[in-house]
Amino acid sequence: MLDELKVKRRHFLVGAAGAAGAAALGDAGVRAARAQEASGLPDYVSWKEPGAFIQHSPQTLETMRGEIGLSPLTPNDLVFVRNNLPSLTEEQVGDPEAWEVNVEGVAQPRPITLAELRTLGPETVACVLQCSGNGRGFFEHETSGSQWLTGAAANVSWTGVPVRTVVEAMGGVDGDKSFMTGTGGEPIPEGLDPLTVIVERSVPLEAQEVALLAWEMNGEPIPLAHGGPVRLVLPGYYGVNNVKHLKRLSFDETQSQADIQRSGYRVRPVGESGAPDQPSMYQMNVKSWVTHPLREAGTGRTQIWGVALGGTEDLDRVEVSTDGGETWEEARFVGPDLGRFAWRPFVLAADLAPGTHRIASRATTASGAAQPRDFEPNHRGYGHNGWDAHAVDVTVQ
Amino acid sequence: AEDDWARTYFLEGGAMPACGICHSLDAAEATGTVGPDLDLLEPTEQQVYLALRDGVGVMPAFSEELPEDRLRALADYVARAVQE
Repeated sequence: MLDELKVKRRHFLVGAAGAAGAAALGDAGVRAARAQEASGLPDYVSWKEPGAFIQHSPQTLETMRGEIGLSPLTPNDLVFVRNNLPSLTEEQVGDPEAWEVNVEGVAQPRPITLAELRTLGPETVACVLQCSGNGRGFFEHETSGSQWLTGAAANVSWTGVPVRTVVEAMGGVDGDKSFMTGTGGEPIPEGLDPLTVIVERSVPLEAQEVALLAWEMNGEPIPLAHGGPVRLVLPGYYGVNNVKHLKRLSFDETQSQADIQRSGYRVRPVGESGAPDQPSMYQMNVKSWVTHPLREAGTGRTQIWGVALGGTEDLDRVEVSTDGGETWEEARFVGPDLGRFAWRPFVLAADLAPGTHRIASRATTASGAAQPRDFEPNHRGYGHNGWDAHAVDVTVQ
Repeated sequence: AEDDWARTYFLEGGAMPACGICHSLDAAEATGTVGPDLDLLEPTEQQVYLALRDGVGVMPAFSEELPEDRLRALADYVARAVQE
């Protein structure tokens, strides 16, 4: 595992200032390099909470399980990072207010700036942001990619303008369209067919009903590491569909031909290659996991807590077991209900006798969808919501 | 000979893009900045093999272009190169 990523001096220098030597670093560069040295995090996320992450690679940071508490929203400095391409820099973005999104496939297609988006009616939505591969590390078969356990997920409040409002301002969707496609603004290096690496995702057209063009994350301008200045937010959909640095929003008859859409993020049996006829990683499933305690607890009364999400549905209940699923007791939701796309912290008080207790949680939605005990393996290790694999063994002395 | 092939493929690719367009690897003098810097990441042979076989995120799978023994040879080359 790559839990402890080595940070070599060379990379401080190159990363901090784009320069080859210390002499070329200005004061700001030196400070940035020191900040990175102190936090152990790459430059572009050096503002995040040091010690709160497992670094799978410079572009993939997993929030440690115990860092998620009872606050309904995940603070920005604890939100995981999974970037398919390097984040844009401030220099690349320029003036954020002048950032343009090209809207296509509507009656009056045109670019719209962030400044103009702000003049349309804003909305705020709280929703779970979760990587398709969250839980990949719980599968027993070998999978490529980061071996995420629980920490490629967060609950975030986004503010922006609903896509349907933008579409309405541009005369509506033009003709019969089946998909909404978002394209990221990351530069594609020369020598590469853009379709090979471009972040471009198509989702079913009905997603526009819930989608936002967002510029604020938990009350702050969306950090570049999380896709600012404008990000496509799709409540209820897995992270990859929430395209960062959104440069283009298009309504189309067919899906994007980009590899990330055509063969990437496709659910298929172990051993099969990705193909367009397989299910794409769109909407999230019901899921929960305990975040406290994780290894040890004192004797007597213990508060067991965790988080639960319904995917696209309201939750009905969360049950907790302290005996590996033999018996279950309903937990209590903590804090406000932020809607069907958000997660809800839950808590259950338990008196644990000395010994080892296998603590599990199981969420059920309003329509009765519940987490399975086990989750059928799929080739790339997507969508794991089996409660048994997410259970923890806690020792009480 | 395997290493020569692997280094050349890393830098020049085939029908698929060359690894070095996206990845840095000192041993191959590759300086790509799109994907992770391999010297920093220090992946194991198996991790490189799985990434080549199945792809990772936007990284495409190379299993249609390269036969199993070439995937292994390339993974072996990268894993040893990052340890040097």
